[in-house]
Amino acid sequence: MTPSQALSIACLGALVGAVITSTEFLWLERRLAMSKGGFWPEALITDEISPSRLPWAGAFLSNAALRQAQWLCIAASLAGVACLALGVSPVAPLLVVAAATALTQQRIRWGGEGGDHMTNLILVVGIVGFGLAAIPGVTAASCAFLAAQLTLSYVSSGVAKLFGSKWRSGQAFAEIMDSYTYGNRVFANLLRRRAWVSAVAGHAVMLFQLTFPLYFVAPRPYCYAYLLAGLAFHLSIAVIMRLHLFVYTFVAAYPCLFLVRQWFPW
Amino acid sequence: VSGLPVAGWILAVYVAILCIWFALSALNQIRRFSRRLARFDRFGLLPRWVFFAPDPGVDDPYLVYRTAPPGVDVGNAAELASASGVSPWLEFRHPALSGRTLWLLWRPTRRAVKAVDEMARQIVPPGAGLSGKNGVAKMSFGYILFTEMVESVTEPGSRFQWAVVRSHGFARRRRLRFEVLSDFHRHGGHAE
Repeated sequence: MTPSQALSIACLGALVGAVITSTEFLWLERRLAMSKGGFWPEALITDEISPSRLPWAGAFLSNAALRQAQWLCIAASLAGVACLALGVSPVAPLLVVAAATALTQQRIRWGGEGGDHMTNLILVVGIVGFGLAAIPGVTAASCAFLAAQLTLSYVSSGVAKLFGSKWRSGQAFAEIMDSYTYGNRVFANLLRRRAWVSAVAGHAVMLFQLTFPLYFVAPRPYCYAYLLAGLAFHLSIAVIMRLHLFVYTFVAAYPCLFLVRQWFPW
Repeated sequence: VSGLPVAGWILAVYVAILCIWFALSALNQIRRFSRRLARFDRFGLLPRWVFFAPDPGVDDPYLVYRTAPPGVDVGNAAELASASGVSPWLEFRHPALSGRTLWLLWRPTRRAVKAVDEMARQIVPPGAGLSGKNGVAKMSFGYILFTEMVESVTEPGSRFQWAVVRSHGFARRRRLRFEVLSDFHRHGGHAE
């Protein structure tokens, strides 16, 4: 696998994620979530930001601008996917998607999730990686950065879980399943009857996250077990917890992990 | 470009930027630093990867409200409890909170629920308990937002109070915990 291929797949995932996210925001806007009395009201946000520091920002943060940014983001994402499929540089569409995403995130400043962060990272290093592709090493450096961020995400989350008594005791997984927001009634019932399943699942997640750096140390082909475990992890989260954006952004960056692992001789 | 000496410099600068970016991202995982770094991270480029840790924190948040007719002394808890016309606590329902889920593709409602969760935590930090009148940050964005949300579903002239409550689990009868309790507000007016 080449750096260009790995970065292309990562960008593809980010662009698909951007299309889904923009469509979601358009739906939320139609459902009055951006109006007075909604979750991200235009007037409240522009009043807070505009007069104090950025008097011109109001126009960019209006509902009309938000709507246009979403359509622009969808169009540019589809153009970016086409560019990647045709082997054309996707820098221009990536720039548009990044700008539209940045504007959206200024407007929708709460209710975000980890998948949004990973989208941002992929877009920025994708722009530089493809924009300066003629310079040897730049695309590879972009891929290495994404691989490092993925590793950091797992290790950091694993370490944070070590500080949680519910994670250590094995209750956390059952508690997450037993909630409307991220849970799953079927799994919640199962875990209520078999508490040990919660402990095993919770500790397995912690083990996977904490030991993820071993992916770079373990010999081939055993190291790839980490990628398979990660794929299963993100698909499970998408299906069971209905957090699907992670699949498009995190798993799409896995080729970067694969690429970086190729650099080690063992 | 690749043959020019400047190419090496560009690569070196880019790698240096990525190293600094990664170092800041790593620092951002520590709460003490993340609070400081958040001020500079206007474009969400410094991720914080905690994912349901250390506390899974998966209580379901609900915005609820009640209204009181004119004439009821809302500062008097006993009168408030016995006066006629005071509504029971009602759940704030918004079109953006109900919608279909299509696994692996579609669930926009999660962002609205997360917005309530984040705003509630902004008003009262987790673990602070029901802070009543003193601990609630009334000038916070979240407080103003929730007040506007509830005001949009109440009648002009009425007085209303809202609260963020949390429950856990799918059980039909489950305990509700008040997390934030607002003052009474007059529709189109100020706190009372």
